[in-house]
Amino acid sequence: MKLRMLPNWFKKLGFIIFLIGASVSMYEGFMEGLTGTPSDSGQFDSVKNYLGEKAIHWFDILSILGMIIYIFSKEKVEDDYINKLRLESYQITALLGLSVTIVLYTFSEDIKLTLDYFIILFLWTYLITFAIKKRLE
Amino acid sequence: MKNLIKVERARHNLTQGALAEKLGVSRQTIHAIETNKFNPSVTLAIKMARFFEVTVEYLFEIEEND
Repeated sequence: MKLRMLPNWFKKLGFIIFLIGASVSMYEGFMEGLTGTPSDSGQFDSVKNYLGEKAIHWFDILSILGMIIYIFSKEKVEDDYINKLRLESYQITALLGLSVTIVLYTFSEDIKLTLDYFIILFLWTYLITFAIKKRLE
Repeated sequence: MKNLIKVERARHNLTQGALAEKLGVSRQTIHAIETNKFNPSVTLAIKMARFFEVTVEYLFEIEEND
C-alpha cells in the first residue's frame, strides 16, 4: 500500500510547530514543577492574560498538529522497507492503544479521560515505535 | 530467501550506506535484505542485479520453505 506523504522538509516545519505549541502549553506545568507553586495560583497566567482564556488549549492543538505533520512527512529516503516499517508501526500503535483502553476500562468502569490523552498516547506510541524499528531492524 | 548481497557488496568494496546511495534506497533497507528480514521488490532486485552485473537468480535464491 502506498501512502501519500508530505515532502521531507515538512518534518522540520512540524517539529518547529510542535516546539512552539508544546513550550507554551507545558509552561504552566513546568513552572509548577520548577518552583513548587501550584499552577492554579495565577502566578504563571501570563499566556492566559495576554492571549485569552482559551490560548493554552489552542497551543495544545498546535503541538498536536505539529506532531501530525511530522508523522505524515516523508523520510529522507523513502522506499518499500521504510513503508513496511511505517505500516507495522501503525499496526502496533493501534493494537497497543486498543489494549490500553480495554485494560483501563476493565479495571475502572467509571474512568473519565479527556480525548487529548488518547491523541497524545497514539502519536507518541507511533513515533517511538517507528524510531525504534528504524534503528533496530 | 537467501541472497548474496553481502558477498557482492564486499567484492565491490562498498559499505551498506554507499550501496544504498547508489541504488536510491535507505541503508536500513540494505541491512534488512542482507539479514533476510526483508525481501526486496522485483524492481529493486533487478536494480541490484544490474548494478552488480549478475543475474537475479544468482543474487537471490529461493529456499525450500519459501
